[in-house]
Amino acid sequence: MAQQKIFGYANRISVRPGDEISFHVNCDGASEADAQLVRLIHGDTHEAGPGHVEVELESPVNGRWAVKKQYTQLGSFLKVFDPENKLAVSGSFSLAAFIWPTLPQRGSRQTILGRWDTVRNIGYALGINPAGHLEFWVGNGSEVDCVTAELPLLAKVWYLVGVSYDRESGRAQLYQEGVLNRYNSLVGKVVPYDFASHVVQHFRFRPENGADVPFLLAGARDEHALRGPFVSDLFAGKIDRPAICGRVLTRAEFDVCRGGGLLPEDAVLAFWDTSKGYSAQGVSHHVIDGGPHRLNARGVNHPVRAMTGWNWNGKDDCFRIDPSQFGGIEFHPDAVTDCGWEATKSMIVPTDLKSGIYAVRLRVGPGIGIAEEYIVFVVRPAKPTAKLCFLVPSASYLAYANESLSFDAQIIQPMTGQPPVVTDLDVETYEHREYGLSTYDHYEDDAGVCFSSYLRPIINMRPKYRMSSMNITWQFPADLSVVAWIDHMGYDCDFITDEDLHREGVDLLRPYFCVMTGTHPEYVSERMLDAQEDYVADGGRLIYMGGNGYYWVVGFDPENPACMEVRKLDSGMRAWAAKPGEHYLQTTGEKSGLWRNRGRAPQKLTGVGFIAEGFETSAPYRKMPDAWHRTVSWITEGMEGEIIGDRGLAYNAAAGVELDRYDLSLGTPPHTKIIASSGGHSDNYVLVTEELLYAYAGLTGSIDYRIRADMTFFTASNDGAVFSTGSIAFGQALPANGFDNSASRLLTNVVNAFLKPGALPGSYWTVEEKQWR
Amino acid sequence: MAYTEDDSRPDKDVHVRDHFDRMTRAYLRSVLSDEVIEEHRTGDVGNPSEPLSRLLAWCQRRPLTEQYAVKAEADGTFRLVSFSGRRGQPPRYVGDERYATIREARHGAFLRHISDLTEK
Repeated sequence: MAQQKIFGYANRISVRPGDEISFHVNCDGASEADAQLVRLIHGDTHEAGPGHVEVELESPVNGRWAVKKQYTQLGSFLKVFDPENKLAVSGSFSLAAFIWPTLPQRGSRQTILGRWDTVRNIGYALGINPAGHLEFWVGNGSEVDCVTAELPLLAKVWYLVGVSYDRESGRAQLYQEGVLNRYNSLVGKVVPYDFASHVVQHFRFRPENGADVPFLLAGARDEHALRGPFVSDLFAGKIDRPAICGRVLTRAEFDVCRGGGLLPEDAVLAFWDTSKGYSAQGVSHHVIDGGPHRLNARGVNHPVRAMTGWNWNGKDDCFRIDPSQFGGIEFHPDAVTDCGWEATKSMIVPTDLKSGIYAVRLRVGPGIGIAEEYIVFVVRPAKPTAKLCFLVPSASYLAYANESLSFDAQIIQPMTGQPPVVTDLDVETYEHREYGLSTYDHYEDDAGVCFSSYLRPIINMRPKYRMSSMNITWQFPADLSVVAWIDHMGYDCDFITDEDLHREGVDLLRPYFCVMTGTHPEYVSERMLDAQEDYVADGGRLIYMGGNGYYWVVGFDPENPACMEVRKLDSGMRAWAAKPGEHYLQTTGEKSGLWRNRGRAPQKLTGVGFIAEGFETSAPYRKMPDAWHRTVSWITEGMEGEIIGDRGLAYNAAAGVELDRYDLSLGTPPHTKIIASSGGHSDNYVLVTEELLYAYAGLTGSIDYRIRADMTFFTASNDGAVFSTGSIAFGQALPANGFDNSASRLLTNVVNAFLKPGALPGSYWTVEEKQWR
Repeated sequence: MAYTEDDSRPDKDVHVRDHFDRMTRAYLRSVLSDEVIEEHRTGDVGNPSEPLSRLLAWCQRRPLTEQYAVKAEADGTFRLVSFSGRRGQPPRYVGDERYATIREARHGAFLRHISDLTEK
C-alpha cells in the first residue's frame, strides 16, 4: 500500500461567522480522511509547557471526507488568450524574444515561446534544448524536426533570439546575438565569448497545429492520463518583449530589433510588450499584446515582473523612471503560488463560533506526522466585542511558509550553532516540492523567492511544528503560546489577521483598547504600519510581543490577496539579495527592503528595533533603573528581585532568538523607558548587518553591549501607549510552569492596565515629576 | 591538488577553500583532545572553550553535503543524516546508531566530524 499522507489548504485565512470557507485536500494512500473542527489553544510540545492543546468542536464538517490525489502545476509561465487560434499559423512565420536564461544547462528542454504539444509532438516552439543550445522545433504529430545553434547559451546573459521559418521551402534560420551592455548581464564585454549563431536548416515536413494547443510563453502543453493537461518544458530566466510575425523576417530586420527598433508592424501577429502596463502602483499579471489581435497573456504562478530588461542602462533603478527598461519577466520552473486543487469540502462558519484560531484536523492511517494535517484559519468576530485584540501576523507566516533552510542553506548551521533536527514531514516536503517555497528559499536557478501565498499547504503553519534549523516553534506555533496565555488568563479577545488590517486599515483596530502582536511580526505592508501608527497616535495601546518586527516592506497582490511580495535588498538579515534595478514591488510600486531604510525604523512605532539574533540559548531580563520610576513602576508591581523571564520554551528564558534594542538615533520616542534588558548573550548572538558600517571582530553577544533585548514602554496622546518585549522568546516564556512565571505576571500587569479606559497608571504625575530620574 | 593541472572544477574558488581547509584541519588536530570531546559531550551551548569553539566553527562551516543533521524518528529516537546537496533529493542516513535524546545525537554528529577530521 502507498505511504499514507495528507496535505491541504483553505481558500481563506480569515473568515467571519456566516462566511464560506473551502478546504482543498490532497491525499495519498487513502480515499477517506477523518475530519474534526478544532480550536487551537497551544502548539508547542516542549515539556516545560502545557503541550499541544486543542478543543474539539461539534461541526457539520466533522466525519469522513472523501479525499483523493490532487496535482499541482509547478512553474511560472504566461498563457496567451487566443480563443480564435490566431497563432495556429498556417504559413511562414518568425519568432523573436530577448532572453536572459538562468539555467541553460538544466538538462531538460525549455520552451521560450510557441504553440507546442510535448505529448503529441504537434506545433512549433523556440526554446533551449537539454544541452543548453537555442533550438527551434516543429512537429507534425509523428516526427519532430529542429534547427539548433552551434554554441551553447551563457547563463545570465541577455540575448536576442529568434527564428525565421519559410513554410514553402522548409527553410528555418536561427537568430542568436548577444545584447550585453555594461550592466545588464552577469559578465561584461571583456569576456571573449562568441554569442552569435545563425544556423540554417531545411525541415522535412511542415508543422501541424492542434486546435487545443495553447500558445504559451515559458512552457509547453503536456498531458498525463490521470492528471489531464498541464504545462511542462518550463523556462528558467527572463523573457523580454517576445513576438510572433506572420512572415519570414530577414536578418537585417532582427538586427533593427537588436538595436532597439521595432519589428515591422505589418508583419506582427502578436507582440507582447512586457514593458507596458506599469503605473506608479506597480504592474499586473496581464501582459499586453500590441499586435493586431490583442492576444493578451496572463501569468500563472506569479511570473516576476518589475524586473530589468535587456536594455537596462544601470542608471534608472526603478520602473517608474523609465518602464521601457523594465520589460524583463522572470520565470521559475519551481514557482507555485496556487496549487489550484479542487475543493474537497466547504463550510459556512457558524454564527456562534467565537473569534479565535481554528483548524480542520485531518487524519488518515496512523494519524501522525505526514498522516495528519491541520488546515488553519482565523475566525474574526462578526462585530468587535472584546477589548483585547490579537493581530495574527499572517504576512510573516507567508514569508516563512515551507522554508527549507536546513536542507539547502549551508549557512544555517553556522547561524544556529547546532545541527538541525528534521522530521519525516520536513523530508517529505523537501522531496516533493510541489507545495512551494518561502521567501527564505531560492529557486532552482538561485534567484530569491519573492512571492508566497497560502493557496497551498503550509507545513509550518500548524500546531506542533518545530522549525528544524532551530528546533523551537516559530511563527504560527510559537504565537499559539501567546494565544494559550490569553486563554489561560481568561481574557476576552478578538482575532484578526494582517490581511484584514491591510484591507481595512485603522478602523479595524479602533474598537479595541489593546492590540497584541505575535512573536515575530516581521513582514509589514505600508497600510498595516500606517494603521498601527494611527491607532497608537489616536490613543490605542499596542503590545509588541516579539522581536525583529516591522522589518520588511511587503505588498499584497491586489488581484489575489492570498499572495504577498517582498524584495530583500541593500541591508538587513536577509536570505537573498534582489538584483540591481529590481528593488521595487510589482504589487504596489513601492521600494521594498527594510522599513528602516525608508525612514520608518521599527523604533519609531515600538520603541525598539532589531539588533541581534542567536540560537541555542536565551537569557532572562534584568530590571533597569527606569523600572522603579514612579510613572511605570506598576509594570513590575508584585515582582520580587530584578530578574524577569528566567524560564521559557524557547531555549529556557524569555530574551532570546531575535532581539530588539532601544535606539534614540533610529527614532525611539525620547520619553521611552527601558523597563528591563537582557545581556550577556552567547557569542552565537551576532549583530544585525544593517548596523554595520565597518565590520570588526567581536560583534557578538558576550562582547558587544548592544546585543540585548530591551523591554520598553512609552505613552502616546489620548492615553495611548506602547509596551514592547523586544524578544521573540518572550511569547514562548509565557506558558512555562503552568503560566506561573515572571514574564506572565509582568504581561498581566500591562494587559490589565491597557484594558482599562482612561488614564494609565502612573500618568497622573505632573510633567515635572515625569521627568524625574 | 595544489600541484597538478586540475581543470575539472570550473569554480576555482574550491581550490582556495581546500587549501584553507587543510590549514584549518592541521590546526584543529593540534588542539583536539579528550577534554575537548568531553566538554562537548557535557554541554555544547553557550560560550565554549577556545579549542571547542574552533572545532565547532569548522564543523558548522563545512560544505552542506559534509554537514550532519539529526532526524527525529517516529519511534521517538534520533538518527544522524547528511544532506544530498541536490534539490529535492532527501537526506541519507549516516550509520545505524539510534540516540535517545537530541543532545546525544548532536554529540554523535560531533564525533562524526571529529572522525572526518582525523580520518580515523
